[in-house]
Amino acid sequence: VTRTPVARSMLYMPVVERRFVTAAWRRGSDAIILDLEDSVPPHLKAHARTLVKEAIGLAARGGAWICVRINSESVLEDLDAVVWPGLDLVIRPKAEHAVEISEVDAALSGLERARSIEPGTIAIWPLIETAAGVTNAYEIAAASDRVTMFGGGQGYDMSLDLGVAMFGGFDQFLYGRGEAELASRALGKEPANCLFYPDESGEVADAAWARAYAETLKSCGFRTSTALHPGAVDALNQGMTPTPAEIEAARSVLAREGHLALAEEGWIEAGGQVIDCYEVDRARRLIEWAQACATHDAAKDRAVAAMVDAEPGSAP
Amino acid sequence: MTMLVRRSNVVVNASGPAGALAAGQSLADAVTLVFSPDDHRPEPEANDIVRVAGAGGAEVFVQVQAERVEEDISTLVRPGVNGIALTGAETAEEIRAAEAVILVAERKLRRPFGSIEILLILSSPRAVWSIAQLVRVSARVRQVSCDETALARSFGVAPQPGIDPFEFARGRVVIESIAAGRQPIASPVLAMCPHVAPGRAGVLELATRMKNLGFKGMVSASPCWAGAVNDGFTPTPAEVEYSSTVRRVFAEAVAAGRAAVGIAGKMIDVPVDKRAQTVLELAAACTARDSRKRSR
Repeated sequence: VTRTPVARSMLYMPVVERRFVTAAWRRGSDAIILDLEDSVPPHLKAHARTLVKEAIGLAARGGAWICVRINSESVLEDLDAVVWPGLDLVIRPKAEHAVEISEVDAALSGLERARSIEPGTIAIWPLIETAAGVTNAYEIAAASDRVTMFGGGQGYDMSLDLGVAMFGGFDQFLYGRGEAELASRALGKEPANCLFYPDESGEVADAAWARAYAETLKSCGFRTSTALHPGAVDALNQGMTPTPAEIEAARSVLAREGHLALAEEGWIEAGGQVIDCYEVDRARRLIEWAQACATHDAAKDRAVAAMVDAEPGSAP
Repeated sequence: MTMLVRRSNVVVNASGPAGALAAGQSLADAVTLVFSPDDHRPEPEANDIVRVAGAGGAEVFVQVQAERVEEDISTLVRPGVNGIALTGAETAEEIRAAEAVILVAERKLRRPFGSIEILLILSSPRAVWSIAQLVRVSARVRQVSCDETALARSFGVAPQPGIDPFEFARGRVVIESIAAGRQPIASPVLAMCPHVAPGRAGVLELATRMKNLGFKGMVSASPCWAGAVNDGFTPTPAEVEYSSTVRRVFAEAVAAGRAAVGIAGKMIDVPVDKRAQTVLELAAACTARDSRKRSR
């Protein structure tokens, strides 16, 4: 799997809302998504583009990595406005055909060269948000090596395309998100936005729901999530981070790895638990993930501390 | 382009006049007549069955088997018939064959080119698997359905309440139909739906569930289902009211320079506003359709 940076919480914010952008460093999210798309009114699109270069620097002050969601109707114009040092990922919404991703890849390559950015460092997340995107999911995900995250098949735009209610508490997007996740995993990309978790309220600031959702994400092998409200960020970060008990259990499994190598059968029993190669591999991955989370959290803490030092009284 | 509103499609046996009469007097948006292969009744009598079936303003379809397209279409497509419900087709060639015979029928009946529709009924795993290709063969295909009773037979499963073996197939039909610009129509096996008891409430619940999976209508096993199916696929007064609120609040927000606002904790942005718009358009189209039927 091509692992993306730790992105348990990717917080959307309209780039035209300056107070959101200037406060982004206080939010604690692993990533900030500066939005040019659905949260920006049509008459402000051109103005929004002019804000991104500065917003990248402002939003990154808390140690989050920086993403921009562009518009599917103005891809090249948007890319020209958003590709600056500090940008980590471009979200290409409503992706329906592989050629659209190839187009973004080519544009990024040109802009990276022109703006002294290391070639190939800006990633692409094609968002699957229509039935047509689902039907072409594999080809879209495979269209560029820059595609490190992939998924969708559910959400507000999918609800619009299919003509279904968003918050029925049942899985109306089973097929679409299933196809997107399978394509992502088949190609070794980080699957994102592919899990069903019942939600009958749609409240974007519901921390209790976000926590339960994040824990389910973690148990189903997902490592990323998006948030529409800062109130969900801590819950997502905590819910997707391995708990001390999980880390201890994983270490216990790894400590017995040597016994497994000597076992006549492909498994051993320890403390009532069956340990086989799969459990060892899972334990190793969990430890790596816990370390990655800790590293990212420490980096965010340092960045925030530096901001507080620079601006006394500004602590989150 | 006018929005296609065809929520209920009542399938009735056309061997006698009773089925067509009941369907014609129901509130159905469409009626599918199933004639027996050995039905050789006089032409005026057959014409009368079609007329009766459409008397309430429903569009009339005749069921055609893929293995008998030539014979079925040439004998069943007559004045008053809006299209064929093509069942058993698994390949593009079979649909093209049906299209060729329809073309001849259109000329014979002096009907405009393209006026006879194909309602594609997928009735085998192979057909569901090939749906992406099948739905694009002909512009005459506007609606697609998966006959889950036939699928159950093919799977060899006995319908049981609460156990749904068709979730994946159903999702594929919805996604591929919409991706191709066609309307997916539900045709569920009633016995598999745990909450559906006979009666209006159960049918309404089933129709609502199918709507929220992306279907735009439902095949109805009985004329008395038609009203509840129509209601299930028509935006409710509460949905209309909420959609109106969304549109108003969003318009005010955009005027104030914002495109993401909240209503009762829910996020409202462009796709939510667009969906509210489509709900209101659908409600208006349903009202117009029902009004046309009532005026018959």
